[in-house]
Amino acid sequence: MKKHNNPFMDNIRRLSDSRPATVGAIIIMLLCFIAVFAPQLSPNNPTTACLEDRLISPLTVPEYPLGTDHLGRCVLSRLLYGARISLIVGIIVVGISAMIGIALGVISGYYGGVIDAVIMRFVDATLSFPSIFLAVTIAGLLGRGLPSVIIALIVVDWTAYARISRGSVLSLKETEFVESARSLGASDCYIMTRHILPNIIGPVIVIGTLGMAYVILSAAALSFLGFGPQPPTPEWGAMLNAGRMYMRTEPYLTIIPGIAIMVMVLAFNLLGDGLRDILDPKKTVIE
Amino acid sequence: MKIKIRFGIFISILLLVLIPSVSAHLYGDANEDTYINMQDVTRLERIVLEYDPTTTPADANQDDNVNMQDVTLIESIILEQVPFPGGHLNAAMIFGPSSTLDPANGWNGWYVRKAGIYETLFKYDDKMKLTPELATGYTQENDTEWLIHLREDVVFHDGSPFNADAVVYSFARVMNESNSRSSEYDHIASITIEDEHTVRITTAEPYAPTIASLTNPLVSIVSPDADNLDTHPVGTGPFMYDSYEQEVSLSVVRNEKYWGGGVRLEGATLSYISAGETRALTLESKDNDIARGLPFPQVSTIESNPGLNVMSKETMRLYFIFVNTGKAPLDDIRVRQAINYAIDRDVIVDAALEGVGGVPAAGVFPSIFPWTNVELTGYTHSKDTALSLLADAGITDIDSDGMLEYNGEDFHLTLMTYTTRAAMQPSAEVIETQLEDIGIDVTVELLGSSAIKEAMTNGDYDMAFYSYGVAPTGDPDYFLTHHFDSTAGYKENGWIRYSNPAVDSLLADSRAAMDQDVRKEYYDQVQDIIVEECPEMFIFHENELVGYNTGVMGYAIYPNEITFLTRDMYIGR
Repeated sequence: MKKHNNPFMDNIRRLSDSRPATVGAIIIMLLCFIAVFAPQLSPNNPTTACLEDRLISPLTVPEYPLGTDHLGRCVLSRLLYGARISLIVGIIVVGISAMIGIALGVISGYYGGVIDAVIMRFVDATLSFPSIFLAVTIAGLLGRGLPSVIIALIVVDWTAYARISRGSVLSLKETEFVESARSLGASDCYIMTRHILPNIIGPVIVIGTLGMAYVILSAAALSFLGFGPQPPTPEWGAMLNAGRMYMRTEPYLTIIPGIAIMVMVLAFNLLGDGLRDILDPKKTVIE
Repeated sequence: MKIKIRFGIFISILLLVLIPSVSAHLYGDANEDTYINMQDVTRLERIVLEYDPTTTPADANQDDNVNMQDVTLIESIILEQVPFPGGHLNAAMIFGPSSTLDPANGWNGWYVRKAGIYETLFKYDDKMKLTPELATGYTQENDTEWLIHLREDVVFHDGSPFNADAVVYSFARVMNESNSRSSEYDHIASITIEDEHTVRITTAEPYAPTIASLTNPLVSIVSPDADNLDTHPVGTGPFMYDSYEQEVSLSVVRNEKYWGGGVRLEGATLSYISAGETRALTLESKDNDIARGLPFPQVSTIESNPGLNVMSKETMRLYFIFVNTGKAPLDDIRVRQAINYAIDRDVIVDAALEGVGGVPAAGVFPSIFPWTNVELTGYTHSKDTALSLLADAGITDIDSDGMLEYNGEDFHLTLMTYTTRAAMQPSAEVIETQLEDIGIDVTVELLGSSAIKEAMTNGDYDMAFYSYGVAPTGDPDYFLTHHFDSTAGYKENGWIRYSNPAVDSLLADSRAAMDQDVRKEYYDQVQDIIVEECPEMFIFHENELVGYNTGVMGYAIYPNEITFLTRDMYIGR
């Protein structure tokens, strides 16, 4: 049990003990690989329409392994390129939301008082809206396009990070090492970045991983509703929407991107659950 | 435990057995041919004489006995002395009214007209022929004065009489300056009562489409005695208002005193369902008897369903591209013609509309329209012609990368469109593909329709793919003047930058000419010029695709999309 002294390697080892988390991590790595090497892996150009080859069923023509859509575009190529967009949107939204959320959450928890009240009431107000409706409203106001989807999702997503980091800070700031740092004359900024931040990062990573799943799903939903990137950009939600017309005659046009979204979301959820198990302080104590 | 399960199964079977027996019957249709006529009387007499077996619908008065009383009842039905047992029709519509049901407000008149509540002085029949409705005819006294003779046998749903007062009242509501669409009736200087059943319309200038402008549902004739037309419409149509749930459904009941004869349906509910797939599904589940605007891929599915059928008819709706003729290089007629040649309309219909959703457009008007210039052939797809026209205009592939260059840079065009009509996006994507095929770099931009209009007003666009009805009043003047007259119409709000004095004077002359043949000649010339100079590109005429339960009788598609429920419709089975 004491092979590694490095806590990071220790966590990796414990993560690999959890089968679902391992599966999730492997799928995510695979999806990242696909996203990075989409141009090399794709059999066709994802945006080139070939009207003579429209609505070919999957596994019938070697040139189009997963068939073609209503404009004769290769479904497999669009799927591979679509992984890029979903991952990029997920990473940007989670990254920026986490930065905003952690900064405001730590300040709020550390200083308390009026600052805390103002920030937390604002968080409460944001949370009181159903998140997808708020996102739809914001995306609708900003107009169509990937940037507006990203902004809309950041607006609804950052509150989770603010809450969780504020909660952690509240308990941390009473601890002895923070007290002693303060009595040694350390500045607030120093204490927040050096003593508090490293100790709240665990739960934030868990929230972030689970948040990836939520963000990818919401981005696909917004795109399905017509707020996503302009055509012919291959985006999974938009592919679902385009296939909707053909749902009964060519069901693969909706099933294939549906499965892709499901697999990616499932992978992030599995990994997130696994991370929660090992990063949960209570679990560590029991072990 | 076992008893409970058995009891459950028993109840389920009971329910299954009971459900089919609820289905409607056309009582009186003794021979079950979905018509009620003298043959049913003969058949009934044979049943009474016990030559033929009894049928359920033969029991017209539903007293569980087939006897001579039923024969009498059927004869009364045929003579329209008793109401027709036409059943209740449920229809899935695409668009519906907003918060008000007032026909003089915005486009709501279309929807209350579709529900059969209101009527106009004149109307277009299902062959786009102008026919009197609440009028009996008109007399033109001179170039600017028209006498409209009104029907004398009409009463409103609230019992008040239809007369010249009501007509003047209804027009005044529309022509009042506070009405947002009052400018559409600027051509009428005054409308006055001549006598109880005659009104005099005086136009400001000689205006040939005057009678046609009376067909617009905007000038539906409303009852002057009605308290609140926003929530309780009162008209003269075959159906009376029953209830309205905003943006969900509008229910109407039969008008027993309809001037046009007995109304066959007992009532109808029009549900407003914006998703095409949902409309198709409600038709298959028998929740609706008629579904308008079927999604193209569903047509074959519906047709293969034995109880359902699809009716298709070319409509007056045109899909076309606004071209920014004020922006280089689209200000060059050769570039516009080249783009027109590069667009293969047959492929658009096959690929984006599944071959059923439209008809390739040669000119602005569809073939079903009497004013169409039938000699126009439009643009036949030809890549070579397109490329040579572009070369003449100085657009060639200089760096041999497969893409054309204009002024040393890649020739790039944006095609704006919107998605509320299902055919827009796929058609725009096909056009994009076809233009890229000859080397024009095209970006499709999906925007809200207000954003597109703003870009058009600012001149900040290349091409905008749109869909309009080309003759809302059934007269060619409306569309041609709005789109191509540089002294009127869309010139004012900046959408159109095209200007051709020859077109302007032809349009002015045809508005003033009273001889229909002379007008036709002028309009033929205008149609010819605008196809030649392409300030707009005409892509396809939409086909109305209506799915219906084969039990629905008497339904016809009206190409101008204005009339829907009529007195002739009923549920036959």
